[in-house]
Amino acid sequence: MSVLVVQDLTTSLPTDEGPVPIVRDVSFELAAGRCLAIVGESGSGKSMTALSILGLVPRPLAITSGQILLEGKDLVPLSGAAQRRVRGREIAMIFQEPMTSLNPVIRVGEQVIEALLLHEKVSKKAAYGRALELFERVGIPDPAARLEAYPHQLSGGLKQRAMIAMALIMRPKVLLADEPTTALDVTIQAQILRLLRELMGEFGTALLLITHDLGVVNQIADEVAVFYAGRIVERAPRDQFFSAPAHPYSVGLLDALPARAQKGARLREIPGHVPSPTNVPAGCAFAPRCPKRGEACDVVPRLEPLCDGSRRVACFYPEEPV
Amino acid sequence: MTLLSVRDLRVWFPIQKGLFRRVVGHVRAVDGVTFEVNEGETVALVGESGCGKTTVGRAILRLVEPTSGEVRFLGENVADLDEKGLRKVRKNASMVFQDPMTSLDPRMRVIDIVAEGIDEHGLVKGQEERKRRVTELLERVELRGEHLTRYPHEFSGGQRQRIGIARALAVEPKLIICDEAVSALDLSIQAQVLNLLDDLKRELNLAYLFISHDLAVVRHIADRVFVMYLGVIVEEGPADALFSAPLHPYTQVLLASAPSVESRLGAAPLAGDVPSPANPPPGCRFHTRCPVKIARCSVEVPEPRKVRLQTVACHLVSPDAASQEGTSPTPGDASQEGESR
Repeated sequence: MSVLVVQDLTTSLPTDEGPVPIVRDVSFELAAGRCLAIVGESGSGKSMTALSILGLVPRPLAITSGQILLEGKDLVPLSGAAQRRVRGREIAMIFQEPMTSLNPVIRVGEQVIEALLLHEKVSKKAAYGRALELFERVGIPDPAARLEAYPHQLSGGLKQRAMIAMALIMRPKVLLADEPTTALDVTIQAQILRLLRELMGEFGTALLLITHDLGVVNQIADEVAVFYAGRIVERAPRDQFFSAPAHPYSVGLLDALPARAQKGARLREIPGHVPSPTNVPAGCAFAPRCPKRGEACDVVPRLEPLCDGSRRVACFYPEEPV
Repeated sequence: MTLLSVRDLRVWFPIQKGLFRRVVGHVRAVDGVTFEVNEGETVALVGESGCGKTTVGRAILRLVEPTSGEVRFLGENVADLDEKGLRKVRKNASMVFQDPMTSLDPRMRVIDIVAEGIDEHGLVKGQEERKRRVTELLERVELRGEHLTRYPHEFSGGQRQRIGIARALAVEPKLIICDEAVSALDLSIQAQVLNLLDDLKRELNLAYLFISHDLAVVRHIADRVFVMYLGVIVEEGPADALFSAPLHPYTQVLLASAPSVESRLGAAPLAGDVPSPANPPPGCRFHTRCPVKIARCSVEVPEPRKVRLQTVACHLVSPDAASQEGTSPTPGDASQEGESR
């Protein structure tokens, strides 16, 4: 049963020449305790998708069509106040930079319990008790002292753990994580990925992970959605994605990885670069860079199940599963 | 031929306190680093943030002043040089930075950015030749000549990094220091830029000092690798040997922790954080986090020793232990338990 269903979501920037879509007809669903990774390069619309779900789309951008269903209830038409009630309580977010997403002049503990005091009738003391429990759970050593500390007194890894504790204090159904480990060192990154995986199992939280790092995706995701120029071009279970990607762009991304190349050999390049949202090619947006493009590509391909049913691909000439 | 030789390099930054900026301690960013770069060779410095790898790169060009030790470039001690001598160094060694968004002056046209070194060193005569040379350089990095009069903001991240590379090439250097040069680039663009760096190396017999935290990139591009931890080198060796059979526990953990597209993380990631370089642990600097430490490690600094193809500073790895694998920790193989979610 899906906790979160996104249906034909389009988020656009209004301009004098008409709305410019940044996110285009995006649909996916996410089940409790599962992780969907949204991957794509900068400008692919992946972060804007997350902000749309949170109701945090920066003006003048706006959701122009589609539905965002949290346990069947559409969030798009909700008022600001109603959205705020959902945000923090049922959907929480952790950001890339733990350094900049904590308020530097407020003690960490105050910030962690803020959502709890806002959304629930609990005493400050009880709230601190829960924060302390969570700090222990996310592996912060000396948790009582850390609650009293200011953000700058914590290392990057500890700050990200505190952020995770803050996000989980309301036991949200959906956790959005935008590049949660990108700013961290690899040894710390491994700790945080492990922690997220454990917490998903324990709390039944669904994780929507936004990242450009395919290595991270391989560690934690159940399913992968590949974004290109605002659209999902492929949605596949993780193992199928890595072993037999179907969309030429997915193939290109995996082939471009130095880890997959022969030592010293040339890396496979995807020629050209990602189009800007104001300049997306008509038809399939990837066609100008695509080695398999053909006549059909003048039309935008729909995201449709591949013949073996293993995944959905938006391409007229996908790689056939072997 | 040895191009660059760094001996026991130390760079300490003073920690100042109070009204009179009294020095109360030092951040030992680089604390005794020794390595060489030969002509036409790609040497990588890897490590996590704060390990000192960037400071090493900057100290070589004296963008920061070394505290002690020796940096010899083309036979001359960089530390002794006056402005004129330094100019010669900077003519032969240039730098490509991480962030192409901030390392190019937004108010300068591409031609003036790329020609900065050419002008500084008087490498061409007259505007015509200057323009021709810059056009050549832009074409060399696969940009078009008509980009000459544009400004950085008109380019994508990948194109900006190409401009940065053209600027570095302009002085016809023998060595280019690449500080996280591809880290900020998208995957498909990263491959393009890595291929370009590889082509340039072959054509121009360039050497690279490649400073990076990205192990997959380093494995792909480097001939030799130096692994840094808290200001010191813990292991060094040919890239193939070091990546396929790392000896130092830190190298092993680092390789095992990197999220890979080929494998899932093992059971036990390294606990704890990197200690502060202002107050590094005594003995082996890694001992506070080392999964296999012994009593000696917290007291005695391990000397680098030649083991197999590598040089490694660890009490637990001994030169006669080619059969070390049996006893040495291999956190990466710990188990596939990670699968069971």
